[in-house]
Amino acid sequence: MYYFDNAATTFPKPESVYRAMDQFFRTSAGNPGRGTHRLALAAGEVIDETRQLLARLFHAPDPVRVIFTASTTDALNLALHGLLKPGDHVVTSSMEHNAVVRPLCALEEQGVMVTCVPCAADGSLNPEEVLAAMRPETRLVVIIHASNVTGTILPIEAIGAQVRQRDALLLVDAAQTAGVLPIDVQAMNIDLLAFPGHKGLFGAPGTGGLVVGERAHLHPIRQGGTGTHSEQEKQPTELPEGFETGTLNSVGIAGLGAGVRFVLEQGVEQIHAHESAVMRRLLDGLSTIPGLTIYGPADIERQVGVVSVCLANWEPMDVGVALDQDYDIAVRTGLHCAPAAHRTIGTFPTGTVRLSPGYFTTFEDVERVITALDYLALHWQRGLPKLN
Amino acid sequence: MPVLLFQGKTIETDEDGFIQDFDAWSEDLAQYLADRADMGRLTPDHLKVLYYLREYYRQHELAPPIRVLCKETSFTLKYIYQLFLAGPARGACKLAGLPKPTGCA
Repeated sequence: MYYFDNAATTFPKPESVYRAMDQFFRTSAGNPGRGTHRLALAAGEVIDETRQLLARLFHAPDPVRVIFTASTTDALNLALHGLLKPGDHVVTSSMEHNAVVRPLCALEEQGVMVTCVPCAADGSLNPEEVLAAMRPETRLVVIIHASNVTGTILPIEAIGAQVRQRDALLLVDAAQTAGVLPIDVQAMNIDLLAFPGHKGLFGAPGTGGLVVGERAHLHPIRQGGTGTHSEQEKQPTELPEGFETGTLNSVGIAGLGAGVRFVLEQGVEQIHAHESAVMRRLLDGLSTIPGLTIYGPADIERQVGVVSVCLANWEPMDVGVALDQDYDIAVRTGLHCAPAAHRTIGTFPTGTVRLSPGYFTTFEDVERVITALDYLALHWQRGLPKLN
Repeated sequence: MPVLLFQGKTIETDEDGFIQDFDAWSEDLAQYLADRADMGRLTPDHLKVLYYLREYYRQHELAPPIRVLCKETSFTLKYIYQLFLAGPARGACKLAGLPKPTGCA
């Protein structure tokens, strides 16, 4: 399998991740924070270690400010529903994933006001337009760090400094950047950082998290057992337990810990450098294919390892099936749960073919996908032999 | 709007040849479209896919996810792809008289 769907979830994972999950499940899988026996304590230790590693990676002021969630979507829901009240105003962009769009839509029905700042056709965002959209009652700016459709990197640092000056909060969706771009929540003035465990951090699906800055005062959005303050009926609000109701996905978090350790050992800069080199070759090759349109900046300085394309005479879905069936290449087709982004770049409603290499993608893999797309472009009526 | 002439009738299509009127479809029209794509005679397996697509669209007003199509027809994706070499969208959905599929597969 030639895997070009790392924006959905990274594959494969480092060997250490597989080993950590297997070992944890066999030797340490008590219920973390729920008892005093050895298995519970061992599970709790792994959770704490992973929390510390994540705090180190993102430069969080304190590990307790890292809340584990089931996904980035779960983290964004916690941030948005745990923060916003009727009458609050939110500024967002037109490149957001439904993980932001849909919670904001639901909150609008409850009286939250939302302003969506349009991005350019390549997915880029002018930070001045974000600032111009802010009002005195603006409580939050929520922006995706890099588009899951075009890979376009949005200007978080420029926005962060200005948002802080205006006494609002900044929530960043780091689904495509955690582990791939350097993120320092303090230096970048990020108040809330939602991240996935199973993408650039190489953990298991079903893991993610929210880093909560000192200026953000969240309310829990779920109630139940936390392993703390069990004598009281009211939900505790202490970080992190008050926001981690129910038994954590400890096996997944054990894998996430190994994944974050791998990222720290390799270095985010090295990971980004490899992905950029692979992307450069991919973009160069794609630009030579007749009838292929590239969406996004097509500039590795301005995007992460994600690019969308369309092929003349092909529906995106059919390209995906042909690449899978004929060439053993995995890509993602359609709207990528980001219809707003596709409206922005002009590919709604049929969507695009998304190619997303990762840290384990080789240059040979890239040659394979370029050759395959070239074949589809030139021989779409299947008149000539397929690539072997 | 582009049109195709079939059995004395004018049938509107989109720019990619997808029929706009769901009720204008017939097996004969499917065979006509198959002939234009050099697919040869449609087999019972082709028709099983086409009728399933139409029934699903009639109920849900969208094309089924690929995994549902495979499950309900008992055909593998590889086999469906062999039946409709242009792919599930330009091949199967177009012959079934569905609008061009949108969104996620």
